[in-house]
Amino acid sequence: MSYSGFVWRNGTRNKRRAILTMLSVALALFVLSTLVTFVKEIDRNLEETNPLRLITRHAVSLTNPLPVRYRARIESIPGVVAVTPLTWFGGIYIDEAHTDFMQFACDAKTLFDVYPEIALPPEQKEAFIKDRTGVIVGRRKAEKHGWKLGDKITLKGAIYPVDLELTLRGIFAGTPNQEAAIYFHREYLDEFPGWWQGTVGTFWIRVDAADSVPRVIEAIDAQFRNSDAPTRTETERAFNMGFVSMLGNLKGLVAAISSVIIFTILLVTANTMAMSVRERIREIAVLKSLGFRRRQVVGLLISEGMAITLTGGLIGCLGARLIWTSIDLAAFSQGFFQQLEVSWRIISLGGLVAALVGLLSTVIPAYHAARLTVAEGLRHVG
Amino acid sequence: MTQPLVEIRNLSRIFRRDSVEVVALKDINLDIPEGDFLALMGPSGSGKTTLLNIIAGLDKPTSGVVRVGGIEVQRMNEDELAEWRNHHVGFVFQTFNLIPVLTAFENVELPLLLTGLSGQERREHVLTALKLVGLADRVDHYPRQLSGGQEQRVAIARAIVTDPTIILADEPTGNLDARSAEEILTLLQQLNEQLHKTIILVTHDPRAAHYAKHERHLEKGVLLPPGVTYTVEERA
Repeated sequence: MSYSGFVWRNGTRNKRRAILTMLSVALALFVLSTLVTFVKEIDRNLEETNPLRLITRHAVSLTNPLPVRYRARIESIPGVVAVTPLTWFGGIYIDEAHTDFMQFACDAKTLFDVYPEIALPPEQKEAFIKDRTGVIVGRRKAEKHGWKLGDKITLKGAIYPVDLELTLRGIFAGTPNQEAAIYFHREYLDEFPGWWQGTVGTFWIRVDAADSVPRVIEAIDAQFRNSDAPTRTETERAFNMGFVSMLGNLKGLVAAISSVIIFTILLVTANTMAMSVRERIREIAVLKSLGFRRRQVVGLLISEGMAITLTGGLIGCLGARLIWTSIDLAAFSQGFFQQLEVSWRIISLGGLVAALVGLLSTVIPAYHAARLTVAEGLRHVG
Repeated sequence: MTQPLVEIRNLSRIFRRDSVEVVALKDINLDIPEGDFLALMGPSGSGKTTLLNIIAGLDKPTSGVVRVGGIEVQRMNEDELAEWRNHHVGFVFQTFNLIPVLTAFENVELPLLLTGLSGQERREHVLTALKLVGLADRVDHYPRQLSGGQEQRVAIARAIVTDPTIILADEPTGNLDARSAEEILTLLQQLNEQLHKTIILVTHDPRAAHYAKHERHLEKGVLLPPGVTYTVEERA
């Protein structure tokens, strides 16, 4: 018999209680690791942004379109290298479950000037530019949907009452988030009569240097300040942050929820461990009568608590990793959220939190039990 | 003259509960030679268990000296006492006090975890002890799968597995039927006679005491002279 075996058998001697405690910790750590991963994922998305890229949108709301004629005036501002219009289409591919990507109407000629990180073979790039109904997609999405060059991709309009029959002309590589979007010609959308003709959702702008960013932002917005469509220009990072800020102070919220979860689970585990220790006062006295020292007894009891919470914590964190990697989040969020992968680092952190909960919840009852003299312990009726 | 294994001099133990003082032991003087089998008798509350606990270092005397094997037990700190008990004292309790989640083998092995013995050495010691108490065929049984008499045999195996200097048995037959009690007492007697183990048996049962070589009686915390028993009314 080893110490670890002794610890595990003592900790799980009341099977129902041990399993319920483990499940409580598992559930808490599942939520905790998911929340932390969610925040990390948002941070990662923000880190992927290009500091030389700006976005101009309607000052009132992103849903208000801008006149396409603004493009020439933006291009004339010193420091602007390239401008491309991007309009979010928001259509449906087959059905909602298959629509795991965002769709943008763009200007094929200038898209690559603003988005140099879209890596597309030159012949595919040329084919895309030449074909008015052409579309380019990310590699991962092409693999997932089994798309090959020349395939037809039909998007049913949800916001725009038109169906687009697109031809796959290019497959590009990028990060999971970059590959989560497909691009087609704005001109093709504009051919259909409707309120959207002559308008765009946003202008994406590339500037020459970081120093130019504040000046270009100010110059663009000043140009259109007194027009019927005033603009709001910001960096790509600030633009993405705007979506995050819709959720409020996300990090503060996650920190508050995490604290409550940890404190609650600490109380639950402390109660369980106190009960477990109280029931075994006589046994603890017997261990001491056999020669176990006080610190050895405290060590055994704390190890029991940590074994239970660590097991529960790892079940929760590994469960979160398994569940979130097996669920098609992109399909659920129609491309807005590509992945939620609970990293090994977060799993280790979760394990550490769980072990700490075990330590803190057991240390006081263990210390009190070990302090009793053997004679007092043997007289204990529990 | 050889030095006795246990020497008790002018030992007193007073319990204080709030403002009330209870004299549990009063001016005890006792010598127990090595290889003896002594029955400590007395009615409930006479101080038998308190005296046993003090000899084992589980309790401290209010005054007086206890020497076991020449070592003053009351002078040792808690860690020293724990190590000393592991090497020199074997305990047998009335309620067996086996760990329910461990098998007979593992219960007996427990005190050996504190020694530097290898797994193989521990196994040999445990099997020898279980064989001595006649439970070689019950090594993998859990306490709930054993009878009361068998449980107490496992407890005795646990008490002797470290080859202690002295075995202290506190009412070891108190929870057993007559037949099992007789088996346990016979086993203790064999340990004394064949392995020369020094045994102190606390009991209020005169039949149990007859298995010992000597009897001493306690009454209201006072150790009565050899040959003097506590009052008949109490014994009845």
